[in-house]
Amino acid sequence: MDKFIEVRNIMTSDLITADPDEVLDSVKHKLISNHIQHIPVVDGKKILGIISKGDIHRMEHHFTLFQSEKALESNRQIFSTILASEIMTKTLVKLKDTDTASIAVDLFKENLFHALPVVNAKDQLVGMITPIDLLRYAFDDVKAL
Amino acid sequence: MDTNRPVADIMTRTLVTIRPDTSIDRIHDLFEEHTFHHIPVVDRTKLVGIISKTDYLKIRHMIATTWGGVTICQDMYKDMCAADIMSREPLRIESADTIGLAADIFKVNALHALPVVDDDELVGIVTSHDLLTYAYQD
Repeated sequence: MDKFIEVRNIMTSDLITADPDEVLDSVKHKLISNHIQHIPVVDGKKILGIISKGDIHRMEHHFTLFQSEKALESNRQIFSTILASEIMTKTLVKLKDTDTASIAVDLFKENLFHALPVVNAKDQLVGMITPIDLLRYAFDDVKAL
Repeated sequence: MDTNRPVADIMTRTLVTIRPDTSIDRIHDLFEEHTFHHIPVVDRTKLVGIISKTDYLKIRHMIATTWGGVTICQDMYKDMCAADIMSREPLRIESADTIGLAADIFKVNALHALPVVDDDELVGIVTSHDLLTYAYQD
């Protein structure tokens, strides 16, 4: 195992993404049906932001608190009007595809993120990396590169 | 890297724990004050459950959608405690189990924290971060 392996060799590159003008209902469906915790919001290959399942739960909670009746239905209506670009986290920490696994580990240890977007030299989104990807690489005997 | 070393070597031993009757408000504060994402629930020293930040957020939402209204929600929170929202009988590991076994459990279950229990007593917690630190250390 090489802790200085470049993240492009261990990241997930087959990504589910959201459009900035996609409604939140659809984003939520993508997160749930694909069993993912984070979804990058992209314009072509450029990453504009990230939405996590936690963000969605927090939003649902805040809206619901102000609805006295028919809370679920109200949430659904609100979620069909809010766009991904309106709630995504825009301040992103990105990794370059040539950064090492060890840099990714240091970032995750801060415990502020659970997924990091990976971009190439042209700042195009090429993958995402999570602590589980790093564990798989470190603890699997052989991982085909 | 030696995956046969015991998790005792890398686990966190100083833990913030709560009791089954700890209030939801207190749990909320703990997640706000600390960067950790999991709190073990103990009855004396026996592990009875675990609460993750994600579970807590989901449940907060569920209560809100079920009951609606700020006042009712606040009343609900006052009456609820850790035992009402914790995951019971969480997956656990023993301190003599290997680091490799912990890694396998994390990979298969996409979990991020495992309580370490010896003879029914909570002695530590091992997280995916502990394993990453060990695997990628200098």
